[in-house]
Amino acid sequence: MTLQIVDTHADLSVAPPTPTAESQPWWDALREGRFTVQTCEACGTAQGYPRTRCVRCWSGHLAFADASGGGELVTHSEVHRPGQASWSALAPYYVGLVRLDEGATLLTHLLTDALPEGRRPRAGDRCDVVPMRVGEWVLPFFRVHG
Amino acid sequence: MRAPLATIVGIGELTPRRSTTGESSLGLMAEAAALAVADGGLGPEDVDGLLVGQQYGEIPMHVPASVAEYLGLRPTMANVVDLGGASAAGMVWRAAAAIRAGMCEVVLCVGGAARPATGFPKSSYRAPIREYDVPFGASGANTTYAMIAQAHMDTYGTRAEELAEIAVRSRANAQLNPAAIFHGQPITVDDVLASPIISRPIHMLEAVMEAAGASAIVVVSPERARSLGRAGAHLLGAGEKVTHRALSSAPTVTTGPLKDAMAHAMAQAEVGLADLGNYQLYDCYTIVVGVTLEDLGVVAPGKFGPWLADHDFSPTGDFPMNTHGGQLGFSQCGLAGPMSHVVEAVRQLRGEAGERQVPDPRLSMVTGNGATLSEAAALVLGGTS
Repeated sequence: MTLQIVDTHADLSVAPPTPTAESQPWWDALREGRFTVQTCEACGTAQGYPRTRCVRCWSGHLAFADASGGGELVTHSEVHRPGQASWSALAPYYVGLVRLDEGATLLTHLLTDALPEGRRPRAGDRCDVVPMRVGEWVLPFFRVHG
Repeated sequence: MRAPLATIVGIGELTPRRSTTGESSLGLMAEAAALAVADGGLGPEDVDGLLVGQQYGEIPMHVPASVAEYLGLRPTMANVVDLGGASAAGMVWRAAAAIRAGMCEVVLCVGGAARPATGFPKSSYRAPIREYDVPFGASGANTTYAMIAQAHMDTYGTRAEELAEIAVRSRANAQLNPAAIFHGQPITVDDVLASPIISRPIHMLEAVMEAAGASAIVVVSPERARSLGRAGAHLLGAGEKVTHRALSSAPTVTTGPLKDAMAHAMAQAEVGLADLGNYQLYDCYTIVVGVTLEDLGVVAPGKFGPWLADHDFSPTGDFPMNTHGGQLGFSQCGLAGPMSHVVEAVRQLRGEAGERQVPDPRLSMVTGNGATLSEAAALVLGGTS
């Protein structure tokens, strides 16, 4: 499933990801608008970030599977004083944990424009992935739905 | 209660300062080490074990050798204990284990940090948290503890005023400790809620203040302590648990690994909650105290907020907690912050806490918490007399 890459944050100049040989395919897929989750072919576990072994059974038989892109908000914070000054231009903004329907949990940047005026995100809210261009990279942001 | 595993015979602590000019962390740690060793009735020649923490980019590798060299020590056991805020409590148990294994007899545990006015030195690093958290705008402890606090509010209805109350009580106890960085500066719940939001729901006054300082303790066998003839604090039980680094991999976001660590510490000590008489609980943020009280089992999950109104954290209260002011009132001088909870427990058990002495300290529960409810260590300490 190929998703439309969104360009609203393309000019944001912030610390980029630091891919490794393990994670490069995940970041490459995002550049093509595909959101994948590394999944163990032995036990079926979907893990939050790519590794050389399954986090549950230590099998080395892992594959990148297309994810549904849906998930549920676990928790969040509205960041007013970012840890890195380069994010200050965007503050306040939201980050949070999203538990994917596949079972893995990711930290992500939250888009709240689909929520009614004045409504903050809360645990249990449904979220959808939004491939967001940030500088040279495409990051999996999530939009929160009430 | 079981026979002691080891005994803390010496403590040393520098008064925290907001910043240092030119001093090194090694230099500050040496000062604290000298105080602790002398306090134990020992000399440098007696120290044959050394436990130190990470050094924030100042010494990227070979930290124990660097500290030993600086202090002229030739230890037969030396290690870095890298458990963040759980390092100090973790050191005490490791010191006991090393002594009992015959590796050494007198262990110096020391932590501290110089802090130039520009802040702690930062080193670049590569780790999953750098690859998967930082690029999304989530970096530093503030945001992660904020997500833990938000989860507690969403799940249990915990209120901002309840979290703020914890900061107020830490400050209140700090008024009895002239060394605390916030001595002379009590605050109210309104002050906390009026302070700037750092990362919602955390306000500035709910987070520890960084400072410069150093703390050290000396651990020996109970037999050696007896021959030294000094009051100290026996280690009766300890526990430790490490569950994750980034919050996205945490088993839960409303409890932490201290639950298991504290349960193990009490089981090993063969004691129960009723035996505890003072609580020196790691408090980098107010939410950590709330979660720790629930994980300790003094209050049901989700209920620490309402519970506060019925309990008093002052030295003469029913639940004497962080009697030195906690790190929220005392400050966080690198790893001397976590060590301050151990040092305060020893002072209370020795009866040397002065104006803030708990009348009947019984046993101390001391906790440490590293990363973001990721690394946990707990100690049950008792007096030697």
